[in-house]
Amino acid sequence: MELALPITVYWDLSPDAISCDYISRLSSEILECRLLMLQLYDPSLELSDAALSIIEQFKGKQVAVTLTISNSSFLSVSADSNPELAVKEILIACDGLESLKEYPPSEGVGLSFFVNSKNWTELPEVISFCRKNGISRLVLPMQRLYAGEEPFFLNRQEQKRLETALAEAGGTEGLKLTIHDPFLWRAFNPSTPFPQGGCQAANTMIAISPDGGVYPCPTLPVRLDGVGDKTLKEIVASSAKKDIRRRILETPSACSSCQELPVCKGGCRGRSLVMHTSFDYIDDACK
Amino acid sequence: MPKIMHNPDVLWRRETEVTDPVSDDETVAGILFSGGSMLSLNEFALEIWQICDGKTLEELVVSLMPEFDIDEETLRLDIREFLDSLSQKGFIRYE
Repeated sequence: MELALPITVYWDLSPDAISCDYISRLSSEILECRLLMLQLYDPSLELSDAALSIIEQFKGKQVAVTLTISNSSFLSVSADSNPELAVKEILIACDGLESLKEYPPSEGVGLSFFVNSKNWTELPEVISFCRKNGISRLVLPMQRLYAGEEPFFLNRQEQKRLETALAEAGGTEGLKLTIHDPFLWRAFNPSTPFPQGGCQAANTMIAISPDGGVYPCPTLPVRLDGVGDKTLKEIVASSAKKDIRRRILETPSACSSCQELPVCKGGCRGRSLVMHTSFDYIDDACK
Repeated sequence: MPKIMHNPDVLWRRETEVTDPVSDDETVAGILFSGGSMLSLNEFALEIWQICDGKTLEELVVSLMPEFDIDEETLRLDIREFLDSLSQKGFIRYE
């Protein structure tokens, strides 16, 4: 289903100071898009004034705000005398368990585990850690390829290996999981088809990078425009955004006769673009 | 008779914006979204969604009957079919 306005905006904050005007203007523009969810990521070591200001501006609005922050930031908020944040959920960002073992997150918060080629074998341990610490929410966030990260994927053998290791670690029952990668999903849910109906870049989602770039998705590094050049709603309605959506919807020619196409719908289009500089290429995670 | 209850995690929106389509999808009246799953609604389904929380099937039939030029049993079957699809996807539950 193609939407005129996104459901979700991913807003990654800069660790540097951000002006109040910028926060206020962009918050208003996001609200104008009538989205349902705001995924706000603040990488600061202490919860930034920008994040607090954004949360305040979305307070009472019909938008579910998820705040992803560092563990140190969460600990500083917890220690604060006024820790009430008007958000739907708080996720602790991490890419390894070592930092969390000393100060495990309290119950009621979730974990956002940034999976990459170095840490994916830790995933069964992450599941066990969540179970042991009463964490019932786990998100494997989208890679920030607009920030120049190395694309990560598991090939079919690795997916199978992970599936086996997860089962041996007790499975994922009781965990509310969010997985954006259809092939990583398969390792966690071998008998459940991926529910997201193909790449949603520039359709249900739009992403704002720390430098104000507007992208179809954090994993699709094609800059549509910059905040301030046009309003967010203008960018969403622009021909540049529609053109890229059309290209995303075209099935890669190598996938056209594949039996798995109805489920994966060509996989992660951003990853293909970064790895092969073309949308018309099979997602390497399918190989 | 069981009452229909919204799943509180479901987010929904009436679709009011009209733009150039990029696919052949029909224009939708509203969308439901939960746990990565999205469901498009036509006007009839959106109306049911908006009023069903806390009601029974029979109460919905009574509410909607004046709006539609169809017999009561057909309306009941249409509503039940839609509610069953919502229930299967976890958007509602029966209490």
